[in-house]
Amino acid sequence: MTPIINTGNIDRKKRISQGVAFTIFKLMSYSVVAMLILILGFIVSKGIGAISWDFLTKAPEEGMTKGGIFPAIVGTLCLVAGSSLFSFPIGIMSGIYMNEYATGNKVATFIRIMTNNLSGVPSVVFGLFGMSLFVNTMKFGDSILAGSLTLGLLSLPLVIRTTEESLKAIDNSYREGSLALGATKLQTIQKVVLPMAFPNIITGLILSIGRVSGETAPILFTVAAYFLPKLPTSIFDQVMALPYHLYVISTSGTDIEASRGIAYGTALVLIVIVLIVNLLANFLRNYFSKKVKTN
Amino acid sequence: MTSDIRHKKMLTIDAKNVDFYYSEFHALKNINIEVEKNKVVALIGPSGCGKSTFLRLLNRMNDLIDGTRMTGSVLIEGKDIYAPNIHVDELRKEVGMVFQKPNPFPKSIFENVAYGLRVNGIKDKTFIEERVIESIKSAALWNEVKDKLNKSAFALSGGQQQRLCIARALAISPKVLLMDEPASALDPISTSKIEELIYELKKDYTIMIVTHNMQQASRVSDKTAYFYLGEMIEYDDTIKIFTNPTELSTQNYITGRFG
Amino acid sequence: MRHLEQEIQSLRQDVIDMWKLVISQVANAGEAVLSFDKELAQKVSMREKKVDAYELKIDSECENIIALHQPVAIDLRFVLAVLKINSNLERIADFAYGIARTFITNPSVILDAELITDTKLNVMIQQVNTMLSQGLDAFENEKSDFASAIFSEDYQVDEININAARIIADYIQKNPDRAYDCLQLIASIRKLERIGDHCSNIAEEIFFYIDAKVLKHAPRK
Repeated sequence: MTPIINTGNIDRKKRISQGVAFTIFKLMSYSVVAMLILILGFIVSKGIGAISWDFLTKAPEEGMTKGGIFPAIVGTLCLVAGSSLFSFPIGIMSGIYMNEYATGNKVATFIRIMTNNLSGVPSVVFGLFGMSLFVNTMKFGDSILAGSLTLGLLSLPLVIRTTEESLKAIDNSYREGSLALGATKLQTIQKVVLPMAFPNIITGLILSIGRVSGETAPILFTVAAYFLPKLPTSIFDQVMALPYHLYVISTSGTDIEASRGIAYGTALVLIVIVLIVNLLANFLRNYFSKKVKTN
Repeated sequence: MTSDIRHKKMLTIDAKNVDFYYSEFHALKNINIEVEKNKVVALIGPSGCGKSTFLRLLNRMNDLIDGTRMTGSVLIEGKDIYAPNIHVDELRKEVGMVFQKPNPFPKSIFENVAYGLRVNGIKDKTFIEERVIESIKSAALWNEVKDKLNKSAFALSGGQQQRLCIARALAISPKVLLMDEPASALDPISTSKIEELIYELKKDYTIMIVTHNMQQASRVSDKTAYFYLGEMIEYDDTIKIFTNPTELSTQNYITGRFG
Repeated sequence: MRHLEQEIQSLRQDVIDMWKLVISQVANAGEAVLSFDKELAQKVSMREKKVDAYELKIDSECENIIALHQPVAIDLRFVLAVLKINSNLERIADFAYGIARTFITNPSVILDAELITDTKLNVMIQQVNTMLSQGLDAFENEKSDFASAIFSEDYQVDEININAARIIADYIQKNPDRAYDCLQLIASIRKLERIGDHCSNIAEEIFFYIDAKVLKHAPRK
């Protein structure tokens, strides 16, 4: 059989351009992985030498050129916990309100635009804002409270958006199915929508924790201590925090050259924490979505 | 004389002069329909003709959509369901609904059927258990699930899921069962099971079903209403509609000569 | 045109062709009797097989349409009507063949011209031919009015049949030697009367198909 139109030449061209395009796409995506591995490898190789039990459990010594980073780890954990306490309830509830109650009305649209804008604000601006509101106006001083609130504000848009997106991903027919059985809206949200959206919401929350634990600028003016070897005793205490500590010892420490090893060690700890958080997020999502299906 | 008898007979569904708007769009135009108890009524018509909209008026599902407006009245067993003193969640106990896509909740088979009872405040365990089993049996699903009531509903096949959804709707003992293309997402075997089920259920319930499948409408229903562009063109006995419709438009649609 | 419409169109054409064939069979059989034309009678006999072939073909076409297309409303009525028209036409053709056979197998039968006029055999043949053509007209044009005259014409054919019995009985008394021929004649008249009945059955089907009215077994004027 001969084809009606001779397309031999065109067919070959089509195949070639397809091959070229896919090769480029493939190289690009591999290069992303390569860069990630490069960064990780760099940090690990430089920082692994500094890691030891003492490094993780002791305070910095001798002008931060020796000793450990324990107060910074604790500080970061305090800030993460504090900001989560603030942003999770507010964010989840606003997300529910916007997606379940105020769909399509002007208030919701306004809130959505505002939260999107909020997420576009540079983190250093959050820091300045937190300083002027929480530290100065509300007189919290440089404290865990002020820092947590600032970080909470920063992660709020992310929490709202993940909540909203997770809820949006639930097919409307489930809501209708529940409402059609005489359930109220609140019952529908409690018993059907939230359990189904839970795996995705959890993932979003954990990712926001990862984001918060790595931020430097917002804590700069609100909570972070340059050097504070003791642990906090109240929410009005200052703390050290990993990202800020890393910034300090690599730019304005007493002896930058001497603390280089510690800096890489700190960076490694920070990265490992973020990695663990991300892996946890993945694990929990799989775990809960399986649970939702089989419950 | 005859009109007296007609008035005495209680109509399960009685819609009078119903007009419905989505914002500016006039989706239903002066619909009048009367449905007697234990009858199956099929709503047919091309996509966008208003048949689903009408169906969803009967359990006030359209209330969920912003910017809609309805005039006229819908009586279910003599009660005006759009009266101000009617609570939507109470109405929906009386008027069950089955949707196009099977939508079981992410719960066990048992809990799916018990859901309607639980959200309506029933706590009596033995009552719930009896009602759940009875409903699953009515939905012709018992033999297939009796050994796995605590398994997830998602483990069932599409057809089984849809019958589970029917069981779920039956559990709260509605008077009317609305079905919005209940078999359109199912294979032929499951479809015929659903159709058989509708035939059985009509002994106890009044059913209104939207379908795009002409043969299905003719097989399961006693009466058929043909909708076109928001109007109810013809409403008559199914046998009449499918052998000798009065309106040319109806004939063109059911014979497939449409547009 | 849609697939189903094409099928129905070709079914309609087959029915029309068969119908025309049946009309010519009846006309030829009648003509053969009236003009003692043996050759014409032979022709009718030969073509009977063709009618049977049409009947089978139309039957299976109807079967296929119902099985494959599940027709409804006017399509359904059309197919159902065609099924019945088909068997009625086949019966009519059978009678035409029967009339022709009587004539072929009994070559000695020669009918008295006077008797033919008295029994109105010629009128009867004319009448059933008209009825058949009117039916075809109504079917082809989908106009049931065209078929409405058939019922009264069938009544006239019945009249002729009833009267013929007395006339032939009288004739036999006068000419007992012609009794055999007369029996052949009355058999043919009976057949023509049956053709008339089948024509009115067909008319009923046409009314059912076009107007969806069931006239069957209803008293008519």
